[in-house]
Amino acid sequence: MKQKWRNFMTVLVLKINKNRLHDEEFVRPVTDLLEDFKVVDYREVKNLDFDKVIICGTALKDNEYLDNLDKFSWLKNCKKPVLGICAGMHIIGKILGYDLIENKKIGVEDNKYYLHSFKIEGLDESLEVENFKGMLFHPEVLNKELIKDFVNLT
Amino acid sequence: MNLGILFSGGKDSSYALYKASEENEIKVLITLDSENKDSYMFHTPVEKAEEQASKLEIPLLKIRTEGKKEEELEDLKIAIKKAIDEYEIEGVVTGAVASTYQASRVQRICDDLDIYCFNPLWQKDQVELLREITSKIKVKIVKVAAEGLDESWVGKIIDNNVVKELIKLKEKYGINVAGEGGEYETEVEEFYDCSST
Repeated sequence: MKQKWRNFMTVLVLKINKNRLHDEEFVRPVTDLLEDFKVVDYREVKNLDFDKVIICGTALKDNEYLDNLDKFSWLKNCKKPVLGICAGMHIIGKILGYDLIENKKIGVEDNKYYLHSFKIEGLDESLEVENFKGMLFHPEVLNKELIKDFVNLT
Repeated sequence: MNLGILFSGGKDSSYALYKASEENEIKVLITLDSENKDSYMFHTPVEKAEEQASKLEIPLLKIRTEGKKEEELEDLKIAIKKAIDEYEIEGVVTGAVASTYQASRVQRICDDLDIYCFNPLWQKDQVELLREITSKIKVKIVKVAAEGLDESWVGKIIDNNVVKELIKLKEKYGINVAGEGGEYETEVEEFYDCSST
């Protein structure tokens, strides 16, 4: 049966992919693990009534979000726990003032699934600053328990 | 977006086609006809692909490959390049569900060719996926190769009752309900609702 963890908090799941078909690859595998969540396109965030935020990844070739970083400026003042997955970590990095550098990684390494074209300069595969957590790999593929931990423990 | 589907004629790539066609234009079905029946990359046999492509009125680009590890990836790249040149596709769609081996290799090829890659069935729960697929597509079991699955299963159309029986066999023998371990092979008979395709 599907693994699903009971979370009593509302998770705002931010989708950043351009083509809706990519929802099935980058958003649905995350929401399949949650019970109480709301999926919102990053360009349409209005209601900030949630307890946690997960920023999903997107396709290798889909970098539109990098041209619209102003749409994420509200995150600077967000005090709720925020998890950025892959491109979501790029966004957190930019919000915190880091630079991105080109760095392509596709496939499995150390039991983690990677699919990215950039990394944060000076940082490795993860980030943890105050309420922000970033993972350059995709935990929804081989490390589902990390999403459980973020939802239930942080 | 103009898309090509990596199409074997099996249930997963057929359902990926179904999902992709909801909001995109499917320009071509790309089929790799592998001589290696144990290929990790490509489903065999692919005989039904031609018949299905003709029923769906979508062009089929079929390329033969010996199915040698890594060389088959070059053949896949050649096929996708041909689809880009001839059908102006901007992305390919796969039926990958759980295989990071398969998915990452197609991702690399798409990245090399500078096109999008879509995996609409990615990480789906196997039972849920089988139920979803068989509600949209008529799928027939054509070959069985697992304990608990005898010849009486051949010819069965997968419906809710068959899924329930498969779940029981999973509990008893540990088979993969979706047949991902080669427990059974299927053929797609028809799409129940072809309006979107």
